[in-house]
Amino acid sequence: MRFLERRLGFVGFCSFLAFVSVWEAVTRGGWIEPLFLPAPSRVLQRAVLMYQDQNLVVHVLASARRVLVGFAIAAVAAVPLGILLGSSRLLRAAVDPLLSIIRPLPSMSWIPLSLLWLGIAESQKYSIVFMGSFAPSVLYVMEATRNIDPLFVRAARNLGASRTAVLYEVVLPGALPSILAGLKVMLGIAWTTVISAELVAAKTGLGFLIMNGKEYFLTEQVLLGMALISATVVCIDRTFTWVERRLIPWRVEATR
Amino acid sequence: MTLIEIANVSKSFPTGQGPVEALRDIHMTIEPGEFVCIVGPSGCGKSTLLNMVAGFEQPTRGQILLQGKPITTVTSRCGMVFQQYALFPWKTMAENIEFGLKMQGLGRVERRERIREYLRLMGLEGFEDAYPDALSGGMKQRAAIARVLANDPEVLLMDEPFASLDAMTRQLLQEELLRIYDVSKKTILFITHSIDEALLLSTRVCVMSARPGRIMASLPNTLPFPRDASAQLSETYLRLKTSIWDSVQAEVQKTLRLKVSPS
Repeated sequence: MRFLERRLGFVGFCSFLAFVSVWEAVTRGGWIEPLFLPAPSRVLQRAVLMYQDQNLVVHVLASARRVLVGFAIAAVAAVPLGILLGSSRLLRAAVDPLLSIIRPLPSMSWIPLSLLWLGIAESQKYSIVFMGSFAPSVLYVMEATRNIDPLFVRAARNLGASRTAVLYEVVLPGALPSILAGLKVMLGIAWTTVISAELVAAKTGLGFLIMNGKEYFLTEQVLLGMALISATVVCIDRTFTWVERRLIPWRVEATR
Repeated sequence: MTLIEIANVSKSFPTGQGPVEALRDIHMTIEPGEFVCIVGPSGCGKSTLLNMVAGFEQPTRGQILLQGKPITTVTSRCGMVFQQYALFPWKTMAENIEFGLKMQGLGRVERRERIREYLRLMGLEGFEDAYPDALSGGMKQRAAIARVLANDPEVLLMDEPFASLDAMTRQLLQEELLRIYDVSKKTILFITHSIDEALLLSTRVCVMSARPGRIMASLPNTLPFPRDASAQLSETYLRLKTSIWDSVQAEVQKTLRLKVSPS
């Protein structure tokens, strides 16, 4: 099992290496104008240069902080609300219309209002991430809650659990695997919202880096910004999976 | 004093084509210490009856009394063992057994004491830290029984608890249940579609008719205790089985006709 995993990991690494090599060869060979697509080595050079100027790390951390803060607030609000909505038909009837109004609005559409209300402060960036991930997260949690096997609820009630105890003893842990899976998807989406927020009125962040590169025709900086988004998302995703495994040990053991 | 009285209970469910009558005029009483098995063809409303005793559902007419008081809501005094175990997969075996005790508000020390006692009773020592999904069906059902027994209910309700186990595990668990019945002196209401199972376990067998379910016969099971699989070779056993089969047979054929006939 372990051996197979390592071999498959090696296959993935090879395909990544092949992709970069072909890209390098195509651009070095002069088939493509560097302004349209600079070689990976040029992108790397730009990364080293900007790293020495100290501000590369600043951009990565700025974006990461915005995503994590905005998303954390959204998740902390969405999980309890989603569980309540998933377990009460009355609440669902009351809140569903409001959610249907907010949900289809792209986070970009909130930018003018958020600038008006919050100015260009950091809280404005957090609010964009929040608006982009809150409503879908509530829906994920609500669905996860509704999909719990009613047999577990019956068994808990039969063993003397009150309705409130059922919520945190059965509904929360029972829905946790699907809630975490949903939040993981939402975390990816939160990244797209932060980039859009940084395209307007920002002096830092990976979105700013991309827009700034575009202004000065520094295509390698645009590509560097894009590559760093991918890299950061992969890192956060890995961390999330690690936390997930610790929060739901029964799944890990069952699949071993 | 009568422990459970099912008094003229009827139950119907609303459907698109109007209400369907699942149970009609059920009347039966269960005395403390009895082991009553209800046998009937599938779809006769056996589980509905048990769900009403547990308080999951309410009768359409009539009422069910536990020690003289009507059951109006879910009560932990009627502990239920489900066919699909219903163990919480996010809790270890020990935590599953602990659940009811925690809900009762028992202290940590006493909880640990009781967990150990019931792990030992059901032969689950060494598995206390395992999660249910890592264990076999037989072990899961042992844990589910331990979980209910630890809660010390007045009556044990069992809804075809061994139906999804393989034949050998089933026989093992049947013998264990007889041992537990002997030790704990609990009153048990057990539902099955197997006449053999009913005769091996019960002190009384109730036969239910096809839908709408009615109690057709209530026969004291005179087979001597202690019982094991060899009881099935005795003459009493054959006589009892024949008389139950005679009453069930007609009902099974009725359900078959119901299923075949175009509606």
